[in-house]
Amino acid sequence: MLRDWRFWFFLPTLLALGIVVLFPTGYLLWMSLAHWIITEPGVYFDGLANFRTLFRSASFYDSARVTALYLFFSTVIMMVFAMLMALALQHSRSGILRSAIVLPLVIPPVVAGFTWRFLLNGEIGFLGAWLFPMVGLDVNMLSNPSGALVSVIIADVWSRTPFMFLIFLAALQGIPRDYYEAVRLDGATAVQEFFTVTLPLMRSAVAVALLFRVVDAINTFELIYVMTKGGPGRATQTLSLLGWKTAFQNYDLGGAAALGVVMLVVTTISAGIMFARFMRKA
Amino acid sequence: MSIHFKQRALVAACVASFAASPALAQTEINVVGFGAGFAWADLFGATGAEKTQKLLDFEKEHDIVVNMEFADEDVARQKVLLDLVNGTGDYDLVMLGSDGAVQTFSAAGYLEALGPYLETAPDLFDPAKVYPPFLEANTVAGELYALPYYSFGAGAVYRKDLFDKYGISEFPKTTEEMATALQTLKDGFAADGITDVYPLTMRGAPGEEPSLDLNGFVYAYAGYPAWFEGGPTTPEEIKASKAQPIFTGDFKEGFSTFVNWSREYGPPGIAGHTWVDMMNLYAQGKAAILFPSAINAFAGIPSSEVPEVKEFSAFAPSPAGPSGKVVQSFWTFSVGVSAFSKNKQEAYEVLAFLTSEDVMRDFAEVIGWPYTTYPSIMHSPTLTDKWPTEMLDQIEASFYDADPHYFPYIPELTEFMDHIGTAASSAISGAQTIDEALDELQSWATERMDRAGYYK
Amino acid sequence: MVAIRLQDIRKSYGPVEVIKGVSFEAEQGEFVVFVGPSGCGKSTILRMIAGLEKPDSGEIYFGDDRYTDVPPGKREIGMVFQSYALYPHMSVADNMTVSLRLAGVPKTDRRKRAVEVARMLKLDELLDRKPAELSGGQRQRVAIGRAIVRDPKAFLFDEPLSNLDAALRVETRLEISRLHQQINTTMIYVTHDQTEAMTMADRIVLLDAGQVVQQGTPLELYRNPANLFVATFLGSPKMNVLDVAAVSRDGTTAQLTMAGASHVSVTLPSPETADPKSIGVRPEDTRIVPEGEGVLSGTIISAEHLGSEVLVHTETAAGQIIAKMPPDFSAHAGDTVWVGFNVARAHLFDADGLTINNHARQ
Repeated sequence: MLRDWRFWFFLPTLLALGIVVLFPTGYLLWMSLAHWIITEPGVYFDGLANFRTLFRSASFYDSARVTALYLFFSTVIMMVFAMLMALALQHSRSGILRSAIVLPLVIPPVVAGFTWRFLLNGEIGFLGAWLFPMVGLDVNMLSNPSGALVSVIIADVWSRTPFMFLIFLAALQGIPRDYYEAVRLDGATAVQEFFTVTLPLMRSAVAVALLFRVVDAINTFELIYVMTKGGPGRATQTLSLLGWKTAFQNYDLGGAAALGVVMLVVTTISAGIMFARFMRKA
Repeated sequence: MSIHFKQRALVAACVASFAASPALAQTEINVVGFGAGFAWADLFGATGAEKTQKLLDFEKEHDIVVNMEFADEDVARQKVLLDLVNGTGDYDLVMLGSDGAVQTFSAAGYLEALGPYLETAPDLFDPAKVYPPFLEANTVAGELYALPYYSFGAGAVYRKDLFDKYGISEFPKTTEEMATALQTLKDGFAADGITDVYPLTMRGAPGEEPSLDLNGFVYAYAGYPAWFEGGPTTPEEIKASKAQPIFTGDFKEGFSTFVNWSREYGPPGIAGHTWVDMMNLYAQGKAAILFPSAINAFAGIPSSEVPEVKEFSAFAPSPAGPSGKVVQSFWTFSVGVSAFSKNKQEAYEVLAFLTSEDVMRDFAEVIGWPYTTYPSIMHSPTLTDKWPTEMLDQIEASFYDADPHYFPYIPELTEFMDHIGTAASSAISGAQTIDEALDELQSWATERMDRAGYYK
Repeated sequence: MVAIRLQDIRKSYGPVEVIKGVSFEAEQGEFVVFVGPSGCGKSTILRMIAGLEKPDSGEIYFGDDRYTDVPPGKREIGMVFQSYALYPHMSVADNMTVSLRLAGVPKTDRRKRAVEVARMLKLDELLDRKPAELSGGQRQRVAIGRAIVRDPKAFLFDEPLSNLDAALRVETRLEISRLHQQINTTMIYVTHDQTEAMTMADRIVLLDAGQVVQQGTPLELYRNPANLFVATFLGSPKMNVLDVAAVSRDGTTAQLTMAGASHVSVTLPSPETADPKSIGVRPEDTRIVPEGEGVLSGTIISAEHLGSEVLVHTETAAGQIIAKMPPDFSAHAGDTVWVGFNVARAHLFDADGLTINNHARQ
């Protein structure tokens, strides 16, 4: 192999891949097996102790539950919205409208979080203190455990739907007109048209969008941190917030790494399911 | 602009980093901080990117180059942590809060004890000239690990007009009177149909946020830092007596009071409120009392657009709990020398300069709040021109009234603060009852202390 | 019985009128081919019959019923698209029976119908394949099968053969013709290929620039083109057209002079008939002849030996002329030859390109 000149051209890529991907992952794995907590000086191999501690902690299961709820509802709502908007705008030539929809995408999550926190604030916020009470919705969104989860989902949907919308729009515009005309001649209603032509032909776009979404949702941090800090209590404390807390509040780097490994596995499995379900050969 | 420059912004990260530059004879100190144009504005200018004559003079005199790099607060904190964990020594000076970082990092051996250095730059920093509690707050196991920059003690800021309106002639001196006053205000607001002004604003966001205030309640109710049996505050004491956590015991009363007052008299969103929210609510005239971290009211008053807030706000000393001890809220943002620094002496000189009377006076001038670490500044025109002497005296008294160690100084402090604050947030929001929250806290603490080897 | 009738259909896209008043009737069971150059509006007309486009004015009748505003799904039309529009995610059987599924026909009945139609189209082995696993010709048949399945009132074909190679095109042409005979449903077929039109149509409707230029059986149009456009559009190779430089007339007899001082003599319908401005002769009526017998002299550019015949391309003073010669004809590029016409079969056109009857024609 070393005599094959092609190997030497391939080598830099191989090294780059190793450095960029494998090394950090390997390091994370090692950390997850290490006793590395600043309050107890000394770093040493500690087997699966971090995982044992993690799987015994109430916060972990709490956060896993919150993450699952967050992931599920934000994803479902986002997909429906993104799809409806893409369907509504697929023939529109209005650049302004499209730009308006895509705008939230260019707003950093931190800013989006602050904005929504402010809007939903129950004492002074436009929505929380004025609009909601006016329509008889007497709940303080951010300090009510369920309300807070709903709030971060709303903000996330607002902030990330445009991305999905763009993926869907591109996919929609790539579907040849003939397919629609053929199914219309066959007597399809709009709904039948959607499920017979549109959705099946967008299958890989949907899979890609879902993949991005799952990774994105599991890793959402700034938005939630800024809006609720994971609260009230632990009502919106997702796994990524727990990870941040473990590392930077509890100074337990090994524990945070163990959580990171668990999240990596969960994300990979979710992505795998997504691929198996949607990307298999049409 | 005050919204950007609250107390927490002040907990600024000040991290000096030494970039090895062999070509230069001068020692370079790179400082990472946040709150550009606010923290050390007298040295780094309004943009945080320039050097004032004052700084240049210092650099020339001491043959040191000080480079300040301002970053976002969280980023700065994480940089500090990662730098210390990896022991790189890139940062000579690190920012610290007295509610966890000082305790944890000193225990981990990341901080240089400052005792031996104190005599080396007396013209810059003389510990005798500073309010002792602020040094005490940064003292762990008898060793001083950091010098205070921005610091405050407990107190209440309240609306005298509202107190007068509902017939409360003076600010309560005890928590019992306080509860009565809060109820009077609540009833009064209800009778007048006022729905958007709350008797009290505090903070209940999850994480360490409420803990500084909440532990002040616990201290006032129990009469001691009631985390462990017998009230030990150091690892040695806890290990010696094998003191178990008592979060369902003596801790409970203060905790419950904090939670109940928040629920009864606080704004509806209090379970998610940080210092920013408590400050804004007070500044917008939506709260009658801000307590016990009075500084957050002072931070908001200058930018208030409600005339009554500016006109009728008054300071009152923190009331005493059933134990006779006052409700605490004591904190300093301070700076320490990294144990991995390669130029500790120069680093200390910069630190001494950054916390010197001269610099602190400029800082007091810039922010205009009635707080400082130097009695000499407290009684100088810098503050007396702006504030009534009586109020300054009361604030000064609150420093001396404070027990900086009103919570245990153990390495796991940050973690405990986080769990305690989160438990409070949870109970305030109703996600858990007080008992559920405390039971969970108790069992977590027991397991955590056990895992940390306290009871071997 | 009239199956489909269009009455003065007009359609504009923005300021451009693409269909300028088209009327036409297709009899029940007729195979009608719309042919014309690209952009002539033939596909638009087909899409209006399908209901995929709405005419700006004019009416569409199916039988005696006005269908102008009936939505496509209710027209009971089977359409075969140029792209076939087969759904990649569905099997052949599912593709063919989409319309039945949409109509709520139970699965077993759908399968039965799919098998029936597949047998007719020799697709029975392929019912469970996906379109991606089929050849071009097979996909084409599936597309046709999908149209057949619903037993439509009429079939519409939109350039269905353009994605096939030449050999397959000939084969599929025959298959569609055979299918038409078998099921005897009205078929409307759009193409730009005159060969397809000539070979398949019961009736050709020749369109140009949004208007019907001429319609009739292929032979009618071939033999009696209404104008120069029809004359040159149909037939391969194209009709030779020569400009007439001068005309000397004596009653109905006219002596036509073309470039190169060549002459032909024709008989006009009446003394009042306008002077012919061009004369057209199909290649099969053009011959390479011995010197003296021809009309024009020219130089052979190339000779295409097709086996059954030889197409001789010559350059003459009156332009390029193609002659169709028997297979054993020997010609070499560069040879100087004489070209002769069967004047009795020549077509005459006036200044506007309209046909002048050549009374000498048989």
